[in-house]
Amino acid sequence: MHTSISQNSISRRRMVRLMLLGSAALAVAPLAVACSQAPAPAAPAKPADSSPAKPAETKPAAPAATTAPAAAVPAKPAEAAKPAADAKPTTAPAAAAKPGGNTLVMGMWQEIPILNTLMTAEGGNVTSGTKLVLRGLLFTDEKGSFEGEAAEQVPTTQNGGISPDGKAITYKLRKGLTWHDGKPVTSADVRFTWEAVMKPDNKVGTRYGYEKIDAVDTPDEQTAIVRFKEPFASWGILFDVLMPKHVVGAEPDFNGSRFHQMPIGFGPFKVTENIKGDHITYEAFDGYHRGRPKIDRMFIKYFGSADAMVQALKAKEVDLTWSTPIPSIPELKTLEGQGITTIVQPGTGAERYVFNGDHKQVPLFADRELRQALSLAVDRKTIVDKLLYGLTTIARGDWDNTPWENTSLPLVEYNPEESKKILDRLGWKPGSDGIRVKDGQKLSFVNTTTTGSQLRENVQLLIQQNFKDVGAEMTIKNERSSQLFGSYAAGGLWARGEYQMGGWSQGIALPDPDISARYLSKEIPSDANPAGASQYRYSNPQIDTLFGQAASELDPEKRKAIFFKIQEVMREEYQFIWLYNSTASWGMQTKVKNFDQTVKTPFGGFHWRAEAWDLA
Amino acid sequence: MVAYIARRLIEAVPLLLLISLVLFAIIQMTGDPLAAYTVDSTLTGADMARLRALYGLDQPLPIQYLRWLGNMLVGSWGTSYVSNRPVAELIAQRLPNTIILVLSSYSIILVVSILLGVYTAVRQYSWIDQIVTTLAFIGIAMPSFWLGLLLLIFFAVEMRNLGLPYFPAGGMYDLTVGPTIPQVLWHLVLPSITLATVITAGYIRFVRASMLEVINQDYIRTARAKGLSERVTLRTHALKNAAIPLVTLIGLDLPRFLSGAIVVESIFAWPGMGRLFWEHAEKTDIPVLMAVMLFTSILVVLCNLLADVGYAYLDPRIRYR
Amino acid sequence: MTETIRVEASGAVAPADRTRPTRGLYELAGRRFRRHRLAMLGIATLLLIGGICAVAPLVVPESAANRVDPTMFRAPPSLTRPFGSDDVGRDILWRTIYGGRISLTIGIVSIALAMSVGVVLGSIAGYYGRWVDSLVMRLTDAMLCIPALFLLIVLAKILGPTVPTIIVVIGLLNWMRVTRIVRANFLSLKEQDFVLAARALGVSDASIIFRHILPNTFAPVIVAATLGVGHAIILEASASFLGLGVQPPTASWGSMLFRAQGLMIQAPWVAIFPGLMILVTVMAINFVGDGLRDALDPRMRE
Repeated sequence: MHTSISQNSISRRRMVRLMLLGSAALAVAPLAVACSQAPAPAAPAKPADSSPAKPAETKPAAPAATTAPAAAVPAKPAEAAKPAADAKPTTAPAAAAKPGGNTLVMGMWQEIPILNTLMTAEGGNVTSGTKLVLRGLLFTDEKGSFEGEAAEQVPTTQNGGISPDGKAITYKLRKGLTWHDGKPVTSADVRFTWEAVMKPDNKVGTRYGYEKIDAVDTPDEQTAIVRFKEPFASWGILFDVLMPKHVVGAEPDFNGSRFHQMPIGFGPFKVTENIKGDHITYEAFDGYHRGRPKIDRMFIKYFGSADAMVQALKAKEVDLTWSTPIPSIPELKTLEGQGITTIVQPGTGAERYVFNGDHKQVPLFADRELRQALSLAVDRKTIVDKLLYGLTTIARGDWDNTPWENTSLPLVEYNPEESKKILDRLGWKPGSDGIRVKDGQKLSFVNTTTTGSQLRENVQLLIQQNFKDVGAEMTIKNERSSQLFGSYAAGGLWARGEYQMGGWSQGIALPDPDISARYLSKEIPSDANPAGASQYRYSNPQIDTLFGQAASELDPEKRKAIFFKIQEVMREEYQFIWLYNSTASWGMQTKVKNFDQTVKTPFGGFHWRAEAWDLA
Repeated sequence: MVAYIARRLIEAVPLLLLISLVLFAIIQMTGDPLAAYTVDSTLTGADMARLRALYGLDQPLPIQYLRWLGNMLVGSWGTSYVSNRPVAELIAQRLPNTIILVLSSYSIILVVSILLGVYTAVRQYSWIDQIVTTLAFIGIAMPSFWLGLLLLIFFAVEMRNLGLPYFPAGGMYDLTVGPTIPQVLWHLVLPSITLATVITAGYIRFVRASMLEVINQDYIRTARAKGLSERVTLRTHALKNAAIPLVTLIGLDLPRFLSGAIVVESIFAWPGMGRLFWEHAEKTDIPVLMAVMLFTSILVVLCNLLADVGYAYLDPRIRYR
Repeated sequence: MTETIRVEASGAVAPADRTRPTRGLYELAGRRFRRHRLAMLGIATLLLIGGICAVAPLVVPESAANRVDPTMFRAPPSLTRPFGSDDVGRDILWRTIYGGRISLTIGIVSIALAMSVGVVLGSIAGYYGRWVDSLVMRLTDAMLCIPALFLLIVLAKILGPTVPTIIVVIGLLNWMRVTRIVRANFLSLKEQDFVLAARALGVSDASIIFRHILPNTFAPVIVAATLGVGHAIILEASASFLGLGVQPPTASWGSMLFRAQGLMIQAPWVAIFPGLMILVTVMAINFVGDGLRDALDPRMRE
């Protein structure tokens, strides 16, 4: 017989009372904090920012501090030593006189690892995050052509900037151009940048182009002459970022320098704070040669998940969201009446499925007509309309939305009937399960793309169904990005060609069409050539020749014609299933002005004309 | 006991060495640190070789490991491949944030789970027990990313749009205001509630189960027979024994969360160790990963030792020989 | 308090009210289990869900369940599709059923695996102490130091990203918890009188461990199993998210939940149903566990 708990114990009433008290305390305390911290929603004023609790700013000119961070560590509750002024709730005063001015917050779900494009190979947000601060000799204009930035104008053969033999490019620097710290930008900085890139110990990424430079002459402070060993058609992409000699040159350790996280440039913004994993703080540079930015301060705030970032936009905690997931766009569109809008701009990148061009590795895809049949079976329009909500366009090829796109070539149509006819003709007969068979081999293959993208997966599923409808069996086997894009030495699947139909997207970041490394036979990675860059594994002597011609053709029109021809040839090869153009997809609060021109400019990047942004 | 602790600590050193070796080997299989460079088609073979040499990746693996170990022992924790910043700096920036999150969550967790766990055991099948049990199940079955997103949408977006007091959608503090204590507290609410809820649901069940085990044992009956009040009986006798599984759980969970509550940190943009690990794991940033994993390993060893010591304190019959 | 001593047929002596002749214990337990209403409800639920999932292929083939339908993208629940449709127009009802096949299998088998390993190791470590305990505990420590992500990646590489691999991985990630819990209980229980008595009477170690001490440690083990199943289902989702688990279009409750994150406002039904299934499963397993514990615990009140 068990004794039951005596009724004098924790009585129910006391327990309930205790729990109610506890829940009340748990609810009231946070609400109190919330009330004190949440800025009053009606106040149009920008929240006060001159709080004395601003974290210590680290001037990058200080000798490299590679030990304990000088950057702020966020306040711990234990650090009650902070001045009492901080503990007071900082409610936004109604209609404040903007003591802090215009502040813009950009949300990002991928950290910018380093603020110097020379030191890394990562694209996208690294480039723009860097180029808000660091600029170079040339920039791009609203049409996507080159324009002068540090250089007064773009060197051409007409204005004598390009020498007759094509081996010397002369840049005349703008007068009065200064770095963020006030020192003048001189040709010595140009030469220093080249030397830093070429120095063997520096952990610089690609040296493409820079190694073709023989010398950089500096006859005077405003003139830099870059002498190439051979004429180099893509000279325009070089020196897109200049490093200040008086800052970086003075440091003993280039690699460990804080410059790469807090650079000093002559771009429209200065970096005043870079807390890894949390945020970057930019401030307007008064001396920017195109005029001081209208935005006084800008934050790039990192989120751990794209979905959370979208919620932050809906909560109006950020003004812009970078690379907003397409599946979230429709939801944001419904909020147009509440001050939120979206910008989706198809860019140069295209999502494509690649037939592995190595016929030994994947003999199935050696048949050009088979590739054509499969290409015809894909319903691109439904993908674009339904999965991408009509926000982008069907892709044509690798040069989409660049001046070198051969728009006279027709897009591949959706014609499953034609596809079935071709397959029948080739001898692929439907089996009992609907999958075609020929000589005992099933028309079955594996499609691989990166994991983690809902959109990519949905596209795969639609296309899998498309193929099923014509009797082809596509199995999905996705891998992590680092597996796919790893180097040959590390077993990267693209590099090793260990895929059948691979899916990825690539674009063109700078206004130059030379992406020959993707197509050249000599770029196919192998044991003998582990650094080969061709993931397509495609080999066509005609294409090799054409690219070779284009590389040394300095006349822009003639060069364009060669690229048109390349695209003509490739279209008939059906080596790729071109799907849709990659987009720059931004969520935005309507109070942000002049941002859409930034996004819509070809080869712009989100740093383009950042000085024009404003808040209503 | 002191001898035992000393022995354990001495044992820990070769253990940690072995673990670090295994982890180093495992990391090599997870990806290529220079994968980002492979995408850049302008890089030549010579470039790749140069980069490999600069990052020390061209050395044979045992040499790489020994180099890493040597550096660790002299206190140089390495430099991140991805950001070129010293690993120590990165960890020093993030660790306090994680500690704040974990401490605040655990204060809620301990109080609520012990209170409710004990009560529902003592009042088994009462209506409070039914409610708490149901809620606990929901907490157990609901993944943390879901709870986090729900809370985020409700408290950060909807409440704000309705003009009610709301909570922030991410980060540790409002960037325009700066890292003040009220700011951090305000930002701490949603992530710690998310983390606490998910963990508490489980802990309540454990406490309840072990309390039920203990309550009906003879020594409890004896205590009551001696005339001790219920509260004292429970507190001095039953609770200590019911606490043993709780000590086990905390010893297991604390290292896990101090090296990062990755899901909660991601949803609420909390700059902690979890995101440090996860975001650098994608890029196979070996120095950062090794340092974080070593830190975790040390914590695991220490916490398990503390748990074992805890058992001995809670149950004097336990002896380690 | 007096204790009556009973002499068993085998000659072993056991103090009453501490342990009963284990043959009788299990018989008694079975009877008490059947009387435990919630436990029977739990069993019935699991059988029902499992049954539906098992016979699903006879009704609707998997390819039809996963059929993409561009006209039904994000369609809300209707008469023809009671659970609604997801991002690419698939019927959530059938995906949930097929998802159950994967999730239930992975959830239950992996945790059963973890439990077996954990209980055995924990009891041995707790009972024998000294170097055995040391060895097992250091092994436990070592496994705890390996991040789940890396274990997944490495094992998926070696064994291939299949369902059995996930089961092994989840099992490997969960046994440590059970081991430590069981060991902790053993550490205190083995010092109790009934164990000393049994040992004095020459009862074998194995018998002491499995028939005397272990039944007294069920409670936290059951809870660990319940929690474990829920976590296993979610962990499987993370694995497939990383490409290390089931590949699309194969459904599983966890991955359905995962992929529904962006749709919480626009299409909440995509997540509600698999989430509900996980909840029901977790509850059912817990009730079964409760029933087991109540039935086996000789001291539980009626």
